[in-house]
Amino acid sequence: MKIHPRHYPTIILAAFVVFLLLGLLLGFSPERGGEGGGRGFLFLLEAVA
Amino acid sequence: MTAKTYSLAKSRRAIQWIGVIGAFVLGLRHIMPGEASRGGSFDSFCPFGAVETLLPYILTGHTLKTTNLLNFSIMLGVLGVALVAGRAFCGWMCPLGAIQDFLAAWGRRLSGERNHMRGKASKARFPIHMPAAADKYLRYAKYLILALILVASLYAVYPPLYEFCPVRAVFGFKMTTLLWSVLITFIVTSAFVERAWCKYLCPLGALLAIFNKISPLRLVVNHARCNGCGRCDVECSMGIQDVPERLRDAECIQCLECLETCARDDSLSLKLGWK
Repeated sequence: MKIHPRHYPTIILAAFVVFLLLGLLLGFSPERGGEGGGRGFLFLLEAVA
Repeated sequence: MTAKTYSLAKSRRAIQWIGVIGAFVLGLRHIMPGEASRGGSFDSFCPFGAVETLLPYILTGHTLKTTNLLNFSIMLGVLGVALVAGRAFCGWMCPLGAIQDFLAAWGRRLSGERNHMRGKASKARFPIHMPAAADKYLRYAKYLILALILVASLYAVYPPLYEFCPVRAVFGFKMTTLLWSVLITFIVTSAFVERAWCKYLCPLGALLAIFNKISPLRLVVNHARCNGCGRCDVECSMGIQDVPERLRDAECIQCLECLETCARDDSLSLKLGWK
């Protein structure tokens, strides 16, 4: 499918914002972790297991 | 090429300026007291900080000092762009890339080129082209740096690039002697060699390069229309030669200057899809 070049900036900005929000929704925010903190994936997996 | 009334280059410049101003604002916030308590330090907004802190986080459950979980969200945003359009983050959104573009343009202007004619080889003395042999091998340096940083991150307390980070040198305002030398080197090399940091040193660019091969939003060439004039080669800030044959090159930062420069309608076009 051909894309008009004028839509290119909108597409990449939208991709950035959507994935950034996805990250924040997944809990990757400073409030959850704090500097030098957070819980590792392995620890989370352990907790789930 | 589509209607000339719309300028991709102007849109790109606008987005780059937003990135640069955003980085300066974060830098100003960085020199104010208690920044970490207001949602993360300067480094926690760096997408590459996520790469630096990923292995320690997986193995120990803690991010490195000055980084936090926000780095992963920012990196997800960058990966989102990469999944859709390859290294477009480098060409459009990276504040460091933008500063390099501005410095190269100033270098060109100061060394003899008043008005740049799109698609015409510059008569300016700077930026120079590296000798082809050196250029070819130096481009592998960024992959080596990425590998070294991943290994070093396992033993680090601070992100391995912390002391040498050019983003902190350009935007951070908290300068050390080392950061001053990084800043001066960055300014000089960027004015002398176009996108030197992106070509040879940037580990984030090295990481995103793979996405150029798999992203669905890409440039395609219509060989029936392309007459091989080479205008696109002249405009490529990453120094890619024979652009129409190397549209999925790992070095391409998807700035689309080639598309903007192409004088023949429908010779280069943007396509969504893998086929």
